[in-house]
Amino acid sequence: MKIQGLLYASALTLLLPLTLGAQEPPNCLSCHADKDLKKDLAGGKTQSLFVEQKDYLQSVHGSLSCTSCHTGITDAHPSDQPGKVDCGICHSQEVEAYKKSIHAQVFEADPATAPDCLSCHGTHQIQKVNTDKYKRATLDQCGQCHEDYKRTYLDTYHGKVVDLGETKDMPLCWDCHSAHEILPASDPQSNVSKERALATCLYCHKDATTKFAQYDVHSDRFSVKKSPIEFWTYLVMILIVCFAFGLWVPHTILWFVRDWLENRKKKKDSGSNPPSETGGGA
Amino acid sequence: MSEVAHTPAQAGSGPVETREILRLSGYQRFIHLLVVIAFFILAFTGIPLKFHEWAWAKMILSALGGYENARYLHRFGAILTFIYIGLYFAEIAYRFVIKREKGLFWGPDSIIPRVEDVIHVAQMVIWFCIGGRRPKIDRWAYWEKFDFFAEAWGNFALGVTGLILWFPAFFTRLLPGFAISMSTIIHGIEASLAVCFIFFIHFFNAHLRREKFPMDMVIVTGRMSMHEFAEDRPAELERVQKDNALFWHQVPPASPVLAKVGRTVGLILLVLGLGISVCITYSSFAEWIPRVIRFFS
Repeated sequence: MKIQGLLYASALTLLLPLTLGAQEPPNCLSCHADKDLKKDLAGGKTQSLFVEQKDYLQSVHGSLSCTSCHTGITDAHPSDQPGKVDCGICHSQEVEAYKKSIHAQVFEADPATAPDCLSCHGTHQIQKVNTDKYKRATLDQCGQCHEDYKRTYLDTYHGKVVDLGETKDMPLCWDCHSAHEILPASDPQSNVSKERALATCLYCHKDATTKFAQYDVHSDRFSVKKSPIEFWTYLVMILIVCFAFGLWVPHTILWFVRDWLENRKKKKDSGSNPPSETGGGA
Repeated sequence: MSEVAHTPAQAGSGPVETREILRLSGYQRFIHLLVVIAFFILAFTGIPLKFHEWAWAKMILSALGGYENARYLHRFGAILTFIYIGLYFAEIAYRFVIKREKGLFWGPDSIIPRVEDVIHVAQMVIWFCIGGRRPKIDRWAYWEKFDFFAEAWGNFALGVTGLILWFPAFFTRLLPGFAISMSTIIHGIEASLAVCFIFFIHFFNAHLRREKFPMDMVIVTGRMSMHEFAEDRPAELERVQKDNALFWHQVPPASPVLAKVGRTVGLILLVLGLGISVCITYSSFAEWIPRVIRFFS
């Protein structure tokens, strides 16, 4: 019984995009499948209104109709002004959390300098967030603005393992900073503030202590101002490498050259005296 | 720390002409075998993490069956390292405390550097530049002593930082948080240094130079021919002959099977080691040259 039910359910979810998705979009897609469909924006810019049907059907929203998100479209379309898509219709919790974040505050002041839902999730190709591919991609997305933080993250064990394609059990940006309610570290309410860092570490490191949480995850070995300890450690290690190879690379090269000269001399000696005995000492 | 055969039966059997000089005891060769196994495991599972951006690192990891395997193998290699360090000190303690061996920490048979080593360095450099006579080397050459202490320092630095990275929460009960970021930096750079040093410098000094090319079998068989001994360690030969002790160093040759297996395995490891060192060197320069250019421009 249970298995049968499951089979029906999975068959239905598989068929849904084919039925629902395929039924309605053609009405919209009769125009929006055109790659050249554009809207004129202020300042002489244009916005493409093209929708790739295949991508959309493969996205997590593939089973929804266009008007589920694009509400307010009237018979007068395209001359009406459909409002902005409100993700909060379904994802009210996430939107409420986002509204508290530093990103939302900055976005309100200047939308060009901070992300909203679409900046990270995309529009018509929204994917599940718990896949390896999506997780790895978020690192580059955060890194578009937070370049130094991406670089210093990649210097840590967490970052290196993630970069090798292994995101299981490894934290990405949003595992520590939270995905929607991101706050600056200076805010006591932030996941990464002095007050709450330990609780965040404890999520994975069950035996973490206060000192453990004081570890600066984003320490920068190239910045003497931000991370003097790491900078000097790095410099001393580089000097040790230079010392070791500075001594031994010339030693090895000189030895190799001397060996070669001795070898040549030996061959010459044995070649000139007894011509009958050749190839003995190679 | 010369290894002398302890019974005449062991020392003197076999025809005199084929006898060889015993340089390394079975125990010492066994420890070196553990060092080799642990070192290769650690290098091939750890280095890809440091050079994670590079395609060759990803190739090594996928050849090992992914990061999870590498992680466990690396810890296995670490345990093996702590085992051989323990075995090494156990032998030294046994020879010093129980057997009361003399010259373990001083004199010509000791691995501890002496004034003669400085003279040998100078003589060697002169030989490099103008040829002529090579320094008369005793039991341990200065490059072997440097190798030994470089390895000891590497084991210390990598062992301590490796443990901190293995148990970060435990160690930060005692140490400040920056111990973790410091350990990450030290462990990665020291490991790259150790791998390149072993495969470029140690391999050349021990195996790839003219007299030994392509491999010095002493590390497998423990033995050296009389002719090689006289050429490579003239000062030791002189000393041993003066004491009339040559007999005690002589043993029958090792089994040819052992030599064959040792040579095959040794050459495979040599190619693997040189390969990863070339990758490390290439990637390090590729990372550093733009940095240096940016700094000066």
